[in-house]
Amino acid sequence: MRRFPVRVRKPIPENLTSFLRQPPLPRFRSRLHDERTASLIGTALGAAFATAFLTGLVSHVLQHPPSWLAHHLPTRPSWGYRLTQGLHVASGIAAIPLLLAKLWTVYPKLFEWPPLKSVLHALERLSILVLFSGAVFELVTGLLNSAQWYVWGAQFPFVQTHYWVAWITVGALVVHVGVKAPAIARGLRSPKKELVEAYRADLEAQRRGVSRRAFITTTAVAAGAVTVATVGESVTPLATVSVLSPRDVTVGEQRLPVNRTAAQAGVTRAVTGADWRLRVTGGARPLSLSLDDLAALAQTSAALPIACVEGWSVGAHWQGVRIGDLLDLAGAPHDADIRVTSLEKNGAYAVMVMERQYARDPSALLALRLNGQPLTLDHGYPARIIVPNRPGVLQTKWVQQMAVIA
Amino acid sequence: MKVLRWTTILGGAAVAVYGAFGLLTAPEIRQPRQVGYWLLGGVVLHDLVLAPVVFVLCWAATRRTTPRVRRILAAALLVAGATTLVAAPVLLHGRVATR
Repeated sequence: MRRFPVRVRKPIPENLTSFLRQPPLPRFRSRLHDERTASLIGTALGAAFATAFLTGLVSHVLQHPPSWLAHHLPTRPSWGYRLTQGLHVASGIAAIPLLLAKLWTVYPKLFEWPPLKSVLHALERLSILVLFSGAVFELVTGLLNSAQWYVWGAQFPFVQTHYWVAWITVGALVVHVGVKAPAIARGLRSPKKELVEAYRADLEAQRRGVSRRAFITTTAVAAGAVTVATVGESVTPLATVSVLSPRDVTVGEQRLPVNRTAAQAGVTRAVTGADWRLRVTGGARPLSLSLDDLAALAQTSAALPIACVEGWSVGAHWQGVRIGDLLDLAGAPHDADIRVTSLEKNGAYAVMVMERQYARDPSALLALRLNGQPLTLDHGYPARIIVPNRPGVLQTKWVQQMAVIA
Repeated sequence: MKVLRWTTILGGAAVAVYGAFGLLTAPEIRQPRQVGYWLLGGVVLHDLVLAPVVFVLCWAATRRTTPRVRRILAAALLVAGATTLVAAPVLLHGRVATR
């Protein structure tokens, strides 16, 4: 009999099966990629995001009040929006180094093997993807918007997108806190007493150069540095220190920055000349007043800030006619809201609704003068609105009409 | 405790779904797909560009430096890096100071 050689299947080399089982993944040797570091930085980051979310909601409600709330928005404190919007931008900026440090800490988890263990595990990783992408999106678009650099062009509108992605992000954040609750609780306990393992890890990290304390301190210093470098645009005594704030609030005629010039708004000298009249309509006695007529009425002074949605704010001294006085003169009922129309041609805020509590606030003015001088054209000459505790976009410039809404 | 945890998780998921629904149905947002690209773009930029660069720097530093130098380098990288990122719009686009 002829014997055929038996073909024996060669076994797959051991290293290839192990490759299929687990490809070579980066290994991370620092001991700081642990629960305690992640919990500590995560708590600070969570506080920053909670602050940004709540103050963002305040800003959204003040700009687009739902009807059930519109008449309950407070006019005091007059610096309320200045504070909340300043906090909104500052907490967002401080969150940038915190997020970077947090991502550094947990980056090794990206290479977990196997990548998906169960349906629940898949959902958890999905929630982290949502949280991470939303957080980066909010911080990047917010920072760019505060610098008025709209790199996204016509791809999406900033206000609505930033608002809705905030809900997605905060939802994913709450999911994350729920999922990680036991790990967070372990991480926040004192390492000496209860987390012997974490304490040993920290000693090891210290020996190799960067201890946990050094890492956390550095993160705090980075958050403090970016805050001090930018917060002067709302904490104006720091304006000369904050050289990286998107808005230089030390520049501006009449000691107040101009967000939108008359030229940008399409307002010219021709329409604001001697023929200009303020019309107050819809009351028992419709009014048409020249600038001289307005100047002849009782003048009121008020110290009120301009607080912009982009985060900068500056206090100023205003003088003009009380809006409440004008409405009384026009025979408007006390509980009426008003619709204010500007001369500006191109802008989403050419028409603004002012609820009665703002209109009847004793320091709500149709201002004619700013910091001791007549308004310049860029600040809204001949007359502009200034009321307490409202976003700057609603402080309408170049007013031509105030209509009483029933 | 378990009930509280699951309530938190499901509540958070409901909030996120509310946000997603708002994003997809807001009349002003005509191309939600573009928002999706931006959302994923941030993840890709961090995970595939920024983080690898930082980890390669860390790896190089641990091989070539003493612990004392390492501590200073790490602090400088984090503070200077974060400040540069925050300042990027101002550096690339200038400060807003009309008049």
